[in-house]
Amino acid sequence: MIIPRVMRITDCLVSCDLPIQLRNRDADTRALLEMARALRAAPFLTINERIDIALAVGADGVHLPEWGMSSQLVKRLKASLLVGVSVHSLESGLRAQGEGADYLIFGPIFATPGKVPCGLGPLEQLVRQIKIPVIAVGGITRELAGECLAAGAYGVAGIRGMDGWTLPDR
Amino acid sequence: MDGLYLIVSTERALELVPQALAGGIDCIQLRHKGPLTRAVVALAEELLQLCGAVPLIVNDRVDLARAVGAAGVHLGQTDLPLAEARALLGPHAILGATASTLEEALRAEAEGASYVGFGHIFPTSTKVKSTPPVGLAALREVCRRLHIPVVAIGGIHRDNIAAVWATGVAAVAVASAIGDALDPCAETRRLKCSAI
Repeated sequence: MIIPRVMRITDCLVSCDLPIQLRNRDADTRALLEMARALRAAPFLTINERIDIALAVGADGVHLPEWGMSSQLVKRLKASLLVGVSVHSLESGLRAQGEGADYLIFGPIFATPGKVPCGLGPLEQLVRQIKIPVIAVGGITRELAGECLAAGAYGVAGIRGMDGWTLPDR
Repeated sequence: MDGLYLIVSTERALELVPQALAGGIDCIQLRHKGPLTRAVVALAEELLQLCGAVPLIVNDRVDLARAVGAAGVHLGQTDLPLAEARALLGPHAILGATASTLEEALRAEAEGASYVGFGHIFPTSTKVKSTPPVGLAALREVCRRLHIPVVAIGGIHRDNIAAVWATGVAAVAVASAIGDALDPCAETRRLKCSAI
């Protein structure tokens, strides 16, 4: 399974055209299971934090919060799961990489409701020292996606927009 | 699954579990709300060590149970279905299921539950409930109809536990009866003794 370069983050049912990260901290397990089953048709499905749901629906991966369980432990549960980790610092990025993460999500790069953006500088610094793919997140529009790639990002993730985005080759 | 069963939150587990074990607790259910952090995983591993031969059961989170090698999971009506949990945890895992009617209890048994947690028997302050307590007559009926162990839960404490044991339940689950006790170890012992 190839790590997608454009990933939609959603907390509900959406069209299955794009690679999807399902992230919903409020739904109960049964509701989340039903959502994940319905989203299984997406070209790539990863489940935020709920490894049980990922295993139950045969998702492609799991996405872990910065202080979630280690990627090593997740891969002991199922070796083929692609593990992404959200990081907010170089230190966390290096740790996640060392623990066997397949990719990182880093941000928020640009302004997004309720969060302070870090800008492209820290992204550039991170990718210089990290060998695994880094996906940029946070306030990314189609135009800004190009800037993230120029800064060294492997891809972009977000909640809004993204339909029909095609990224230039790196 | 028999004897006295303690339900404990991750916040209070390290304080209460050693005392409950010293008092002779027979089973521990660990409840965690919120994301599975590595701190929670480490806590569950530590509790597993402390528990030794006493089964440690994880509420809802099959992934946590599998990651640390817990004895099983307890599943509410809005948690993973029993079949999915069995597929993920294997044939030897203890799978508990919550039921508040005879129909739910029978269905859980048919779907492969190892035991049924039936309740809430009495009014309880531990969780906000939308339904009235099921009472002892319904508990007695469930115990009579099921072939798997029935664990009574909800509002059970030192003053009403004798009547619960008398229904023929395999086990009694408590949270605040031990968690709010001045001496959780002594209270565990006392609740267990009331079974005789």
